[in-house]
Amino acid sequence: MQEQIKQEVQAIFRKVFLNPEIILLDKNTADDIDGWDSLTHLELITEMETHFNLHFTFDEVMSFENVGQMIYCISKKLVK
Amino acid sequence: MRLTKRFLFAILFLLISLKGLELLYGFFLLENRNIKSAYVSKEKINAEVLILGPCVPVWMISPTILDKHTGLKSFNLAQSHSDLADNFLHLHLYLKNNLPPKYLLLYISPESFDIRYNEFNTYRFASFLGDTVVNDIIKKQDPEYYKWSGFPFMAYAYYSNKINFNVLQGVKHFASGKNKAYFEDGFEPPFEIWKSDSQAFTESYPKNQNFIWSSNREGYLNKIIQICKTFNIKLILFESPIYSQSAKFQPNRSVFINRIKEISNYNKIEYLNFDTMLISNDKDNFKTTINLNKKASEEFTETFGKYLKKHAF
Amino acid sequence: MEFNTISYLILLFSILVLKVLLPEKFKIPLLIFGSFVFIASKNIESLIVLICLSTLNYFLAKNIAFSNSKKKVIPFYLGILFNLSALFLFKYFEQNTQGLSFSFTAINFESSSFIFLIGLSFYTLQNIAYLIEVYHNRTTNNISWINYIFYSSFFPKIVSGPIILPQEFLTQIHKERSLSSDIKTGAQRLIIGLFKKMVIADRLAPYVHYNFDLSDTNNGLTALVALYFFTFQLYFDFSGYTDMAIGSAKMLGIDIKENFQFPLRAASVTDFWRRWHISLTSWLTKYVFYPLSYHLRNLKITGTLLAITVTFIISGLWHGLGFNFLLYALCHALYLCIELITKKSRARFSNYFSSSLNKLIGIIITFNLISLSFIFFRAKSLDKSFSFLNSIFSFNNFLPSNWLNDFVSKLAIGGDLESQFNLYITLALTILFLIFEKKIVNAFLTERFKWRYAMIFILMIFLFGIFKSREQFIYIQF
Repeated sequence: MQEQIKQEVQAIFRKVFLNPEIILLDKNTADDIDGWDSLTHLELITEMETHFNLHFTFDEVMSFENVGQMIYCISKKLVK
Repeated sequence: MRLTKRFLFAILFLLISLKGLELLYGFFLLENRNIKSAYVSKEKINAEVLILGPCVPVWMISPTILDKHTGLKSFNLAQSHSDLADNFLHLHLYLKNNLPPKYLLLYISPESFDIRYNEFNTYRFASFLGDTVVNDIIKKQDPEYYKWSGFPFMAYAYYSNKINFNVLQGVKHFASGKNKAYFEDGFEPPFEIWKSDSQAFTESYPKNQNFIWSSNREGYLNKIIQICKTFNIKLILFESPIYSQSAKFQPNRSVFINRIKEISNYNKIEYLNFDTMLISNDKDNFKTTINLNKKASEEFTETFGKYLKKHAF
Repeated sequence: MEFNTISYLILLFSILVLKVLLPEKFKIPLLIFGSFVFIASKNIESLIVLICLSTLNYFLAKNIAFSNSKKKVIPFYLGILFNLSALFLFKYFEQNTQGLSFSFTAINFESSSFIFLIGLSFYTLQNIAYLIEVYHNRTTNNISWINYIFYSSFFPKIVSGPIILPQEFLTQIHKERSLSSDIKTGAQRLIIGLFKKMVIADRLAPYVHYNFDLSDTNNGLTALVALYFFTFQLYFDFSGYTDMAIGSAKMLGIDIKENFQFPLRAASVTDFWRRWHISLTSWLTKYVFYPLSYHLRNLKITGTLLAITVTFIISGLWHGLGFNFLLYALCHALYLCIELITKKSRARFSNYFSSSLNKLIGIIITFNLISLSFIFFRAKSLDKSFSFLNSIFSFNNFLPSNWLNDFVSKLAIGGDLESQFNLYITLALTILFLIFEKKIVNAFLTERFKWRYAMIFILMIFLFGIFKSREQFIYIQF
């Protein structure tokens, strides 16, 4: 389950940041990925929301410190 | 402990370097022949006539023209932007190294007594700190500078933009063994390109602006009068032509002229006022309301020389 | 008391000596006392207002933390409203007494009829951030009042930031630190900052003042170069201040986060805002841009563009309540929006060039774009800004007809050899510093104190620094 979400999230990252070579690690932060900044962060979030058909709260959006936390949050929501 | 030691060592190193720089700067500034104060305190000029004042005389009175009529050797000791304190110190430094002149021509106008025109240029005397007269005046005119000037090198660092270039020029003059100033007789001819600059006419005298009398400035005039008495120099005050239309923007000009007359009468010194001559009427003769251009300057100096020979000398 | 004065250095040094000599428990009272002396030396009103506002915010935050989620809404909005009105009143009076914007040079800086409240624009943002953090339960609330005052008034950062949160600041108080390493790295930072301010920014200041405020008729190139001078001046002034702030704080055992990250090397305006006045940008991102774009995210890109524009308008208002700052902000909003829209096409386009060439082109374009926006930041009035823009873009009068008279003399404020010499020295120092900036900063940021470099920089300050006609720090006005 986690692994599959990660693959899908990775695909979204590749699409948003126009870079087909992105390989996601759980510990990746905005500093590691070219183009991931405050302007693109919400674009990423919106893409996730449409793709997985879920809804992030504002506090959740603000609390993601790395990719791992984002995936964990998604998986938790999908289980529910 | 090691840190403290290194810190103290660094402070010591800094102080020594600054002191060294101070000595070097002082030395090379005095070698700079183009700084009037340094030039007259190194070179024996021994002129018979000295010309003193701010930018007006330095750009106007050519000793070559003047001497042709008076038959005496003159030197132009005037400096641009200088006030009477600045003038006094230049005279003091001159007299320390030269024989006193017979005559001193001092440019005086209402502007001379208003602190908004010209100023005391401390940096010109930085290398003369230590002379008691210089110290006293700097202490009075620029107390903040005086306070810091005791710290190694601060006497030069404080006005570095006015000093660094002169030091380099001093190095050049020292290395090349130059002993005459670029302007040997102190006169700096006005540029040819100076045509009438209409903006300067209107801006230098806002409408109906009154001159404000400064007792500080008057004090320095008295100091000049005193030093002339001590050295038995005949002092002559003069004002050169001003643009005739400008007088109407200066409501209390005549009050100031009268005060100057009173001072000269009281001290029994001559005051020659040339503020209206034929050249006063043509705007094209002027760079500003009081600065004549090249041609008019020459014309005035001819007249001035003839007059001095006939009536004053 | 400004950082580049001897009285500041004396204050810093005395506090440092006392801090070493006195027992640990006196550390905070001592630093608070030092801060109070620093602030009161400007004017006593600043100190009173600071203490009142901090105390008020502190107790509001306490109230928010101990209320249930329904009740805490009232103190929260009350606090935000209160801080915003304080900020607004301050800006309003500032504008009405100073005209549209301040004059940037000490010569014309008259604030006699206006009580200048030191640092208000900066600590208000900190207070607002603190209220928001407490409201959202994102921070632990065990700060004592005295520590909050300590944090608010801490003198190295009171004047112009960096803006930091109390938890980032206060968690450091009881950490074990190496005193000698703190003093060494702090002192290095202080020296670099002094150099940037006194040797570069203040040497450039008169040229900028002359060409922006006094000279009316300029050809395009002269105006453009004068504008570059202002970009350099502002950068060296503000980053010099920040270096001195971070350095002083470090010497006293507090780490403050960086505010600049080589902004003039930014390859896009987006990149520029990650490197310029970072603490303000992150404040705005966190408390304005994110909430806005979160709520507007269904509008896709339009939402982001809208959020960018609103964020910059707020930034502009924070700088001052004039059309000039508004235009400055809108300029940047426009740049960012264009960059966002053209992202894909630019990425495709850049494939044609090598990455270093891409970067170089990016840097040159960005530098010019931000410089152009600074016209509004610097010019005294809207009219002046447009006439300045007009001269730059007057293509038939772009090159000077006489290089000495219309270009060099205009920039150097005089055509004589001395003025030219001073201009060239200034230019050489600025450009050399910019070229070797990374090397210099890296050398000075390390733990090992470079005595040799420190001595060289101090001597350079004495040789080329401006001591007379001390310029005020530009960002002190905000």
